[in-house]
Amino acid sequence: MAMANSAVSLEDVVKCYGQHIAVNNLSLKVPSGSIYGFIGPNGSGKTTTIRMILHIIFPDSGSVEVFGHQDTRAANDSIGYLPEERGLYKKLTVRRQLAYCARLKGMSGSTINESIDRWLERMDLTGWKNKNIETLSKGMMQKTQFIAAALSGPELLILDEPFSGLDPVNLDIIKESILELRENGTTVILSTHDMTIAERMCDFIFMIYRGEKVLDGTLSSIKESYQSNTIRLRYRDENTLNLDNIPGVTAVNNRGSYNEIQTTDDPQLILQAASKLGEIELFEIARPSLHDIFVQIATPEREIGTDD
Amino acid sequence: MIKLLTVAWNDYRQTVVSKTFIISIILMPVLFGGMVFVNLFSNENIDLKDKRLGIIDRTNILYEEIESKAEQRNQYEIYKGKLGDRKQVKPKIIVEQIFDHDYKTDDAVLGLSDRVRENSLFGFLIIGQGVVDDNEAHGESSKIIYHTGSPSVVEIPDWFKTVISEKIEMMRFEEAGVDKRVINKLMRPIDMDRMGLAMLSEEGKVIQPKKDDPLKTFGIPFTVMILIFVTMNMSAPMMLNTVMEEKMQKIAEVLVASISPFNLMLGKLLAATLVGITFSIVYISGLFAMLIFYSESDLVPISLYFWFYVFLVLGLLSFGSMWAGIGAACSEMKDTQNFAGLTVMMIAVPVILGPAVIQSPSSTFSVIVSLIPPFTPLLMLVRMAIPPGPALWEVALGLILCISFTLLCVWAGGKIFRIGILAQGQTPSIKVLIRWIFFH
Repeated sequence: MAMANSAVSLEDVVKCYGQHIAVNNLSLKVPSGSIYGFIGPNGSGKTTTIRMILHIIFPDSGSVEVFGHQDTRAANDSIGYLPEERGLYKKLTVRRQLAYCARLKGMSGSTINESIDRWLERMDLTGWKNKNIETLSKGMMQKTQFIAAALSGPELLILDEPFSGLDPVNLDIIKESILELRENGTTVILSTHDMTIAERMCDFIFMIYRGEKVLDGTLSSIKESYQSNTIRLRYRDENTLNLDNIPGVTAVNNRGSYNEIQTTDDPQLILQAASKLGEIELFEIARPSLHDIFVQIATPEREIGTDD
Repeated sequence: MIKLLTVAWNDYRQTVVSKTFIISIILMPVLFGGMVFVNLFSNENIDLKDKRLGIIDRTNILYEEIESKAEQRNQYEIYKGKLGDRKQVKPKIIVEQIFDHDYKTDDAVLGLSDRVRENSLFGFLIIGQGVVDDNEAHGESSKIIYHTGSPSVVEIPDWFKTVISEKIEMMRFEEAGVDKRVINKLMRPIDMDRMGLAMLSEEGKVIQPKKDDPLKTFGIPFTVMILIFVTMNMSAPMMLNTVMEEKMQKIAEVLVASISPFNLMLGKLLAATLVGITFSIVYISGLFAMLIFYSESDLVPISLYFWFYVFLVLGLLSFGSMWAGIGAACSEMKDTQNFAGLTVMMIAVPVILGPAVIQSPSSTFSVIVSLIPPFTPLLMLVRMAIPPGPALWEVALGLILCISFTLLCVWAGGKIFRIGILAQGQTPSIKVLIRWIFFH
């Protein structure tokens, strides 16, 4: 059973396509009102998981619960969705496209037009309201699709690569909109390959790799659990030193202003041993970035080029 | 349900305001109207210049008759309307007698051909000496030979042939001592009226049968069949195009996040059906107005309009489901051609069978083919359009089979649509499609 404050809860979910296991025994809980980062290499099961949350596809086993509705599409009107592959009707005007999406989310009457006008103004697209989609630039289409997802004021907003192809100005506009939606109580699932954005924006990070959960928690807890075996070390006079002789050091890399040493031992023991060699100016246990953690987990997958 | 209607309205609106639909809906009346106009225009603007024809009459007895008939024709037979307000609709024929000795050489044909090329003659006739003989034909001398530089103008040689034939016939009768008027009387063909059946009215009075009308027995059934055929074929690309566009443009994923794939397909199906109905209403209204205008509204019983829409809707729903499934399953437009070709054939077959069914609407063959569900919308309707129509049990059975077939198509189309709409990559084979239908 899902926790009361979980917008989305998956329990032991399995989804196979023929012989291929796309998602294996996946359990996760997305806390309400948070930005929940979905990361993982291409083809790891992110889109399959998102589609199961949206009940576009159904798991072979396990349960998917969204806002207390288990294994039904009942909550779908409360979910806004921006898929990775953008799709808009080229021959429709921006206004008609947005109104159509809003109606499919259960909106009706004058609230649709009011909401469209508000969002278009915010995204600086008011002048394009009655223009056909095909006349829009890629960035404008991206913003239009974002509006389509957020227009109905969803309780849960699922964004799959919302920033791809955006210039820095438009990227900031979308980013601010996401943060504001979170402030107003919307739960956001943000799927991205941009680790910097994930680090900056997400309250929680979930990583899926080969259909299985490999990371799930706050950024600090994840970094805590991925304590680095890398130490940055600088001596006042380093010419005389041979760091390879320090017990427990497996590799030394000269990084110019400091040396980076790899160790399998307790850093405190390294510190004690290193201090005997000379006067230490810098001793730092390097904390891994999300990027480092991602690469560390997914190195074998780096060359895979297709998404699921 | 509201979302289903939203999809239907969106697709319907998108289609009926599209240039393609507007062009297709006005194209046919414009084409027909254009043809009528061109026909009228060309009739009004026919070449009325006098046609001068040279006649070499080697019998030496026919020219006077030809000249006299030509004068008669030019005076009375080439006008439309009453005297004083008449309008010339055919050119005058001016004849000019030519003799072989008019030409220094023996080759009069060449000399007269030159005159035709110089436009001083339209053409010329050489009436062989032997055309008045009773005996069997013997060579060119027993023929009339017509030469012209305008072979497409057939009315003029036909007129000469009729005038000369009639004169020679008369001469032969006279020579045989038989009065042609007596022969005509003896040879008079017997008239036959083709009638329908007499009926008893509710008050018990005999309703006299009406005369059979070829328009009613052939024109109306053929028209309704073609109208259903055209309407269904017009809806096919629309259904395919919208589904393919949503799949290829990746719109489908957003849609199925808001509405279930089956309801999405039903919405699209409803839209395609409404588009088909809109399309047909334009033509049915035109047909109805025309029948009213010519006071022939009783040619098409009101019940036929009702059955037309019943079968049209069933046809659109069944074939529309197939097209929706095809559109969803295929990843590229060219992949749809093989599958769509099969369905188009299924609509075309009844049109090919149509004339045979119209000829013998009650034959065993007609009954059987009209009960084959994909053919029922066209062929049962054709049979219903021909009095007295099929037996009630045949209509009922056809309807039950057709509705069952429609439900089967919607079910199977829905299964394929649900999986296909999000599937990427290679277009599935028939075998895979069957697996999607029965094992997913």
